[in-house]
Amino acid sequence: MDLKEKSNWIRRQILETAVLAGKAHLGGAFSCVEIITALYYGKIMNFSPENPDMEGRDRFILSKGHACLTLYSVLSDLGFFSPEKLKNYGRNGSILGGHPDHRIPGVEVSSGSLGHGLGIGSGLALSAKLDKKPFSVLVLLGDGECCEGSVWEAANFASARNLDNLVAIIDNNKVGATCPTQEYSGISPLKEKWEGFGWDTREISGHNFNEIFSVLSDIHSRNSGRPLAIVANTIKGKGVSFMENDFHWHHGVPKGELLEKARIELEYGK
Amino acid sequence: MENKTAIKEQDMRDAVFDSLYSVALKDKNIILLLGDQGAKSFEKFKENIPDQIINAGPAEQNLISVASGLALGGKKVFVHAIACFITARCYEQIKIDIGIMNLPVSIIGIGGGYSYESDGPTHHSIQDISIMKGIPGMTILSASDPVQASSFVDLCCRISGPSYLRFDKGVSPFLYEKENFDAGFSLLREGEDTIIISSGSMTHTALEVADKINAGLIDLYRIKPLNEALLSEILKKARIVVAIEDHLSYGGVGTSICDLLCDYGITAKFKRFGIKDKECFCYGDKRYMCKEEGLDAESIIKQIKNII
Repeated sequence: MDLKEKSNWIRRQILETAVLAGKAHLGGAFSCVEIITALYYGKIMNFSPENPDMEGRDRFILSKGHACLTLYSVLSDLGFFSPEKLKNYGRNGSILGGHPDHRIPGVEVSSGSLGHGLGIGSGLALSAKLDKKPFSVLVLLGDGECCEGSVWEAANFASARNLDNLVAIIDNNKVGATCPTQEYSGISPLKEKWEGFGWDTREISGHNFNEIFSVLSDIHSRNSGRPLAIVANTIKGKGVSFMENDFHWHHGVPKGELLEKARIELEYGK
Repeated sequence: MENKTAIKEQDMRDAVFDSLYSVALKDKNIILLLGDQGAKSFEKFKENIPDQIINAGPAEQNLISVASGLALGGKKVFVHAIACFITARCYEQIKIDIGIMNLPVSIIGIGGGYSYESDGPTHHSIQDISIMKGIPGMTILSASDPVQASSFVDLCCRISGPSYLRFDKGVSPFLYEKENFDAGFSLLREGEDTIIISSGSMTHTALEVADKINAGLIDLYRIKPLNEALLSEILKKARIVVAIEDHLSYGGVGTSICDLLCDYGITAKFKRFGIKDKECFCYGDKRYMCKEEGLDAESIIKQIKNII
């Protein structure tokens, strides 16, 4: 299965898990599918499903924790835990809740409250520097999340501490829970903001694998003394036409005809 | 006689950080994260173990998140700033990044109660104990003298989850010689009819009170978890139980003791002394402010005598 097909398959997993549970954050889960697929299937990160706490693994922090279904789908497919567990998502006794917790195999950090991941990632990256360990720390944030002031406290800190083993990827889907993020962030030149904080910056399409690899393939050899921010322009709800760019699908789960339409667009049976 | 009672005193901050320095010298996994705070002993860190002291600036939310990340990377982290800022300002980060993840991060807050004196209500820390009690698994320590302050560093190193250490700004007289502080409280004065429970620097006031009215005195230095079994054994013999604290009179030590009395069916009369439910715009030194608030020995004695 190539990465494009894998992404479609993951979107189907996300959708069916959401349908079974009757609740999810689909829009923000769909917008980061290619990014997370590239990280885990594209040989960017070092990890071991058999040994989730493997010494020297790269750390991935899903700071926008509401996109957990993307991460759960990938982790279960890779064998961090049984895919059967996905079917129980959000139900009584499940290990998988609506936001990731650190007890789930493969999940480094409990997230769901926005604006925490980059600070935690900075601490982890600093610990790697202090102990001369070669692992990298990758943090996935939402553009809405970048409204949280703590993101910028961490941006300051990571820059001041020269954490070039830290990568922030901003899933810039431009839509929040109730409106376009521009309504509360104003015209937000994200790349320039990160530049202003002393970070190396790149801007890519977050749905284009060539562009994702072009900015992430060398993360282990970075030595610029600056952390790296990747503004990944994405589409909220990507892959299902009626969900794309529509904040109603931040929380919504399709039913009936819409569900069937979504299934057709995600190429079931292919 | 005079020589024996000569007051020895030390800056509480030096007591904590000199102690931390000597532990950190032997263990490179100990990291001190600062929110732009100063202390004499920090110079020793900078000179001899510079990698183990990090000034992350006045950004408390980030301090706690970074501490969490460092702890995930295997470090034992001490985070230090003014008590009110390193608790309330970053409560969400404490709740999630070190609370939910149960990480060995020790929050070292200087300036409990009114100890920032005329710096005013922005700098007072009168609800910190209350909110830190709201974090499941959080150990809360309150140092009443330099010996405790110094010893609590080792205690914090032995706690596997998060902890909060509160102490006063400035110098404090000694109450203790060398002592083991694992029990959670010390019985400083034996007494049967009336037993006073106090914490932190208020224990010095409470000592004055206890001596004047011949009451028992418990220095409650571990506010959470309470040593319920031992405390209830002592309190069930009392006719009157009194709590004294430099914190809101609700949510802190008084409330914990009140809960304990209820839970253990102890029917002693109970009286609490703490800060009233109103904002304080009174400026002056701590002694003056406590007097205004009715937290001086004289006012407390008067009120206890009314009950007796």
